[in-house]
Order: sequence, then C-alpha cells, then structure tokens
Amino acid sequence: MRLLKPQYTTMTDESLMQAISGGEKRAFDELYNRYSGPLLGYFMRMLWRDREKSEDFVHDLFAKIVNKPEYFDPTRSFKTWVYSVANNMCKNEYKKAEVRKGMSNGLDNHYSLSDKNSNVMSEVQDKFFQEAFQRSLIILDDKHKEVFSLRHLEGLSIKEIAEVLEISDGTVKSRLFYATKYLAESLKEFNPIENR
Amino acid sequence: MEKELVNKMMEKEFREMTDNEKIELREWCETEEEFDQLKQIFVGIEELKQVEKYTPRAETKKSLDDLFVQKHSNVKPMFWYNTILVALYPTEKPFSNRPLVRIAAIGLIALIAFQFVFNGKLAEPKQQISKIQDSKDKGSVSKDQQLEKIETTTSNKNEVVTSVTRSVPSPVEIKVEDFQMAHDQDPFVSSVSSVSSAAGVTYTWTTDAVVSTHPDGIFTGESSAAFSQPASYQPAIFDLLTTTF
Repeated sequence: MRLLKPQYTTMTDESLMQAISGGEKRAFDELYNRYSGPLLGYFMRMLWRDREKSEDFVHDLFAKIVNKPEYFDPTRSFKTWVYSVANNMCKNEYKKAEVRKGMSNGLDNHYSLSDKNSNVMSEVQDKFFQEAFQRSLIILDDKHKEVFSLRHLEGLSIKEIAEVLEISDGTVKSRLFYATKYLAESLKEFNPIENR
Repeated sequence: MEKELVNKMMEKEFREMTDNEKIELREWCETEEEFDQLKQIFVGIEELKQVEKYTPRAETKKSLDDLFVQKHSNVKPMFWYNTILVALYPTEKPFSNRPLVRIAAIGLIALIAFQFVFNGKLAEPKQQISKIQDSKDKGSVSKDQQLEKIETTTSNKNEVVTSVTRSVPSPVEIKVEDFQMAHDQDPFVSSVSSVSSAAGVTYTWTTDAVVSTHPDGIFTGESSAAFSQPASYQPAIFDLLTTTF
C-alpha cells in the first residue's frame, strides 16, 4: 500500500516507464495516449502511407515497451529512445522491401499503396499542393526523409535527431538543408502563397 | 533552420525582412523566389500537421491491454490512501468536469431551490403566529384595564415575592411567581403575604413556615396557616388585647 496515488498526466515519460516496469496500467495508458498518435503518423510517412503496416508497427513498438521495459535506459530521453526504435523498425522494413522488390515483377507496390490512401488529403483546401508535397516527401531519400520528418513533423530538435539516428549534429543539419531544398525545388510549380 | 527563423518567415514577406534576418536567411535563400519556395514548404508542413492527426484503432489498444494484463498478472492491484480524492477531484480534468465540483454545484443548487420553495411556506405560519400574539397582547391590555392588579411583597427577610391578580367578577387568583427561602430567615415568621381586595378585606397568611398559634406568640410546634382579620370581625379579640396592654 502506498500513501498517495500519482498524477500520471503530470509525470515525465521516463517516470511513466519506471511505473510501467512496476506493472502500473494507468502509466501505460498515459504513455500510449501521448505517443501512439505521433508514432502512427511517423510510421505512415515513413512506410509509404500504409495504414495497416503502420498500425502493426505501433502495436509492435508498444508491445516491446510492455514486454521489455528494461530495454529503456532511464538516464536517456524516452522520446529520442522511442523514435530511434521506430526508426530502426522502418529501416528493417526498407531492407525487407528491397528483398521483396528484387523478387517481384518490378512493380512498385508502395506507390500503389500511396495512391490508394491519397484520399486522406481530399479535405485539404490546397489539395493538389498537399498531395504533391506528400508525394515529394515519399520520393525523398530515406535518410533525408527521416531527418525532415523528425524535425518538422515530429518536432524533435537537431540534437535529439542526432541522438535518434546516431549521427552528428552537422550531418543532421546538412541532411535537413538538402531535404528542404529538394522539396522546395520539386514543388516549384505550385505557388500557394500567391493564391491566398 | 531555427524555429524562430521559420516563424519569422511564416509571418513576413521577403521585403519585410530586416537586413539582419536576411543575413541569417542567406544560407537558405537569397532571392525572393527562393524565399517564397521555402515559405511554401513550411506552410505545407503546418497544413500537414493540421490534417495528419492520427489515432490508432481501438483494436490495437485492446490487444496491448490484454498483453499488459497477461504480462503483469502476478502484480497485485495497488491501493492508495487518496483513491477517493483522486477519483472525485482529478486534476487532469477541467475544473468544471471534476465530480467533486459537480456534486458541490448540485448540492448548492438543491439548497438554493429548497430555500426558494419552502421559505415562503415556512414563513406563512410564522406570520400567523405573530398575528395571534399581537391580538392576544392587545386583548390582555384591554383586560388589564378591567382588572385590579394587586401585588404584595413579603418582608425583606423572607425574600418571597407573591403577586395576586384578582378580577372583580372572577374568584381570586393567586400566582406565585418566585419563591425563595433565605437560609437565615426567621423560622417563626417565614413568609407573610397580604391581599387587599376592593372591598377593603385584607387577608394575611404565611406560607410554608412554622407559625406560633399561641396568643402570646409562644411557639407550640404547630404549622397551620393563620389568617388575620380586622378586629371588628371578631370583637372578642379586643378583650385579649385589653388584658395584654
């Protein structure tokens, strides 16, 4: 019996992980509420907007947290740890995809999946620009895409991205610069700012 | 690119940027065209953030819940001292959504409603009672005018106060308002009261005291009440008085 019930909403991610190790269900619920949505978005962007696969990846990641919470080093930031795990899962998927591509008839399944789910953007005001933006993001090289996505869509700092990807700050900056320039160039034909 | 610089780009046009800001931007864009291209990327990112808000399916969560229960099945449920307080006053919820606040609000409303509904009904009988009392007071004042009120007090020694109110047509009413026997009182004349009627008849009696009945005032031990009368009512008493003086 303990004296006071903790307020999970005010606890840090790292404290929640410790509580999860002790079998506290509400701590797990809170951590899931904080990260399941952003991680699903991250997987969607990194895995060619494949919803089913992204859901599976979210499940697998949180299953890892439930089964092996000791894998997390409490001295580290949970956010960088969980994104590094997610990023490694994506890298493994890319490798598998490369193998499947070599064995396939040459058709790229990813683009078909992307096109199938493109109706997500149908409600956007600048529909065409958004679709072009997403398409450009998908086409972008993986190492640039992950940096760009982590920085601008997940809101991680340069230092955190460097920790997640285990690269230097300078490399993160140069990749980010390249990705931004590439997207700006590929979307040159659109000029939504003037249209507003 | 730093977040502050991105925010500036989102807020301003290229021509609105200061020289210092243009120097900071030089790494990313030098011309207005490049600036607009970059800006449209950040606008696209912001729009994408608004649109892309994903929520995993309920099945995913349920599956993870089952896994968690299976993994921690040997862990005993926790009991907390402040469970009730946390349940009634969860700080993570908005103030108006906290159960304790809602219960208090309902109680307050009920109290106000009770006051509002029943206050008028309760006040009505009170008003009636006060009216009756007022009329009684008025009646008693008028009655007093018809009454002859006689108050008699006993000697200081005995500290006995007796008031007698007599109505002319009605029989004599004797009301003892206060009765106190002093410790050092004279046992022979403990309490003497007198009543004078309109007819001039005065009655004097003793109450709860040992009184001598002997003509010379010698105490004989009897304790019966003795009423005094005017001498004219018993002429024989003059003989006794004559021999005495």
